[in-house]
Amino acid sequence: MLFNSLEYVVFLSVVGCAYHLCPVAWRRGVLLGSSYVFYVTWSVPFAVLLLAVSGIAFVAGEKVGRVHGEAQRRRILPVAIILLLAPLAAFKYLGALQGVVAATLGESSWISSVMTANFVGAVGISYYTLKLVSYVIDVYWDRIEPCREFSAVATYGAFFPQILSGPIQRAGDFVGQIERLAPATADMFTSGLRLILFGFFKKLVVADRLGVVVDPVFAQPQAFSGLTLLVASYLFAVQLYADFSGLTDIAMGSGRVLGLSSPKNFNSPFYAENVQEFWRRWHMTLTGWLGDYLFTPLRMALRGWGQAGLVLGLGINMLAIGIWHGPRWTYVLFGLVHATYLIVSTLTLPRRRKMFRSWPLLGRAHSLVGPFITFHMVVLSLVIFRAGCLADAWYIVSHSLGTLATMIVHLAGAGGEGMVAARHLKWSAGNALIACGAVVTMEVVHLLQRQGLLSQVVWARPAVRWAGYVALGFAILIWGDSNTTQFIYAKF
Amino acid sequence: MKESDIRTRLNSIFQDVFDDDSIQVFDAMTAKDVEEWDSLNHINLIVAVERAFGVRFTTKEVTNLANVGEFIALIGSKLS
Repeated sequence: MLFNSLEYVVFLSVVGCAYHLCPVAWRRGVLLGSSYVFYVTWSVPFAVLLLAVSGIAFVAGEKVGRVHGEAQRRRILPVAIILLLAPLAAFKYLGALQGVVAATLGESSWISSVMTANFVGAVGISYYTLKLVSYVIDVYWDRIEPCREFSAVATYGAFFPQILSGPIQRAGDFVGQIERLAPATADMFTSGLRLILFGFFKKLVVADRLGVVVDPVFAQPQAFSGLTLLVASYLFAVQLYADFSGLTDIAMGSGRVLGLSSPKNFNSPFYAENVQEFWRRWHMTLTGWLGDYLFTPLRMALRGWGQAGLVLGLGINMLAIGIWHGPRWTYVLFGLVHATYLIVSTLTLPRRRKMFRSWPLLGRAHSLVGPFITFHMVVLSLVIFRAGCLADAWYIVSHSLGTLATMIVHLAGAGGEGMVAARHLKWSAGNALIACGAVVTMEVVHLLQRQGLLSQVVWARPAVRWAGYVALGFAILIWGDSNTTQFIYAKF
Repeated sequence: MKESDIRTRLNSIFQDVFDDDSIQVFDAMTAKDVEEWDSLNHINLIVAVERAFGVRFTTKEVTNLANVGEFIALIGSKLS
């Protein structure tokens, strides 16, 4: 069941009614049952796997939390983490070795069969694994008490709004809420519906409309000119942001309808002044997870190594972010590119700050130019991320940059070249206008959200509020691509 | 060392690590109160405190700090 389907709208309505109308004691059962119904629509065997992994986390939490003696707890923790990560490794990464295994053991061996298992069925495995690992580590670190009931851990792992693509909520935050099981307040309920509506707008009108022109270019980049590749590179950055943040909004909104709040995943990342700031604003729950459970222990262990420890810690952390997306060289390179960005940026930051203090005018210029430069660095990395293979990535980057250099030299011809690119992208003036209008609308809403004006001014006036609902609704119905089955971050 | 002395030294370490002379630490202060307080700067802060006070923290202690007040209490407990 996809979020952008009529089935999901009906499903959420039924679950919402059941949750709010049933006795309080049944609410956790409704959450757990509905989450598994949602997951079973993807795959029954993988729902069993999800249940088993949740069981491992529950038992590990019990053991780590109840056993006395640090030495014994320290022995249990790595075993628990390995057991929790094993299914993720098996279904997500071993596929990359399938060719080698098939050649060695034969296509029909059971190991080959496991490796070729349809990964689509194991949807959400990257998200629920990280959630359940964090639960066990948090118990080990005494951040939280172990759950007394299996249903709490199982609901945390399987919670349907977050299973497709996060956000990766921490156990302490989620379990605390399902222990109270407070119904959604009127404000929470309506803000949830508004988030879902805006999420659908971002996904269906912005992301999918851009996807129609971006996808063919990345599928066969050699068939397009340098300028077309350049335009598609920028459009993909916007498509990815709209797709992922739209999906996150639908997830957060669905949770709020049930009275459960979820953490933010984005905070206007494309306005970041430097790469460190970008990673504080982009996929915040993943970077926060890796920061707490990988980078911090690693950096603490390497703190005696000075700058070398910093470089190694950042390198491994960013490589982990890349590889988390899947076993592809483009994701590895994406991670390494960002590791390089972060290492250079972090090591030069003190000197840059000193320079900006000595030259205030330069400092002011940097606050304007910084987001522009950072955005372009991110676009470059996302081309590598999206390309089908390293050769395609190199083709797109080299041809785009070549064209950009030519355009800067011959600025006068840029308009004409732009028309050629639009023709190659099979973009009519009408389609381009709709896409631009949708992107501007999305960013205006984000700006109002950031300034806190959306709730205070826009939603506070009934006429404006309803005009907004109707406009977004019509935009989705008229311009939304309802046939899409692609959610970029649901596949990771 | 008195708590007020720890607080004064910690304040100057915060200003140094975040390169911001306007920072004034308070007990309820968390990472949400300082824009650049991410996991990278958190460890920079820890390393600077370890050097300044001649103490050593474990990963568990570092990850469990809820606010600056707890940090001051932890430094105090290490020094006593």
